[in-house]
Amino acid sequence: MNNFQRLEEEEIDRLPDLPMGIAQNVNSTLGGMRTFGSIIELYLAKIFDVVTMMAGGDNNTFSDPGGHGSPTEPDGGSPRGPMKS
Amino acid sequence: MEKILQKMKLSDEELIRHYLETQNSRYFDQLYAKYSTKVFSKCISLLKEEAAAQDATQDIFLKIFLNLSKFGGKSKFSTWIYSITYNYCIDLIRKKKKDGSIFSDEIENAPDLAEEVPDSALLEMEVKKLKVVLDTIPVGDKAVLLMKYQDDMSIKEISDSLDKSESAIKMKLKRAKHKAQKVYEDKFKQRPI
Repeated sequence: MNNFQRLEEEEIDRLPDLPMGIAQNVNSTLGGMRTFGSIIELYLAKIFDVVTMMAGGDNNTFSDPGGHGSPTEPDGGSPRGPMKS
Repeated sequence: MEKILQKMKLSDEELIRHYLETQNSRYFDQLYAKYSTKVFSKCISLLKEEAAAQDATQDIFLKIFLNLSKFGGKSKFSTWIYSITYNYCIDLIRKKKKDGSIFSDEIENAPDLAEEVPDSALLEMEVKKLKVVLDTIPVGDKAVLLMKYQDDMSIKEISDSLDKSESAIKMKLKRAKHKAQKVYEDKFKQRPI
């Protein structure tokens, strides 16, 4: 151990206690960010759909890019738009 | 299960992997307990104010855990953490200073130094005198000296950490050592009458 490292040890011995709240703050901020991230991940696709629909587009382009339809519509769903007679 | 985990001494890399996989605060607590004192000590040493050092420690740990997945294991985890600590403190000091200069070569237009101060000149200083010297030289110089001699970081690791070239770091170290020796001589060497 050199004099720089001894100096650090001496400074650590004299160091005031680090408030316990710091660890809790960091932990709760990380938890909050994770929750926020999960919400965004869950609802972002839906928000895109809503925005697309409001802009007059087809919401299936984003939520179902493959055009395979939803599980409740095994035939891929009925075609959108005006029906030809 | 918890007791078994407590008895097991996990390495930093294992703690990081488990934390990233489970997001369990138990692993966070272990890493925090291991490094918070040293990070706080470095913050106080550079920032000089306890309250500012506490805020900095909180921000640094937040930064560390938000970027934990980016830790590639190329260097030791402690080196990575201390790099973030030094950078955070240097940025904070730069923001506070109006001209933003914190290294001696930014403060003075120092000419090229021909002679290299040997490491022994610094490593043989008494601890109390070393503290006075480090508290007198510019904070950027202090940071590079601490990285090199306190944390045993290589030139490459310091250059990666401060985002400067290796030759720039060598020059900064050279100037910092000169500055430290000059302060030591001015303050502690008896002058002939």
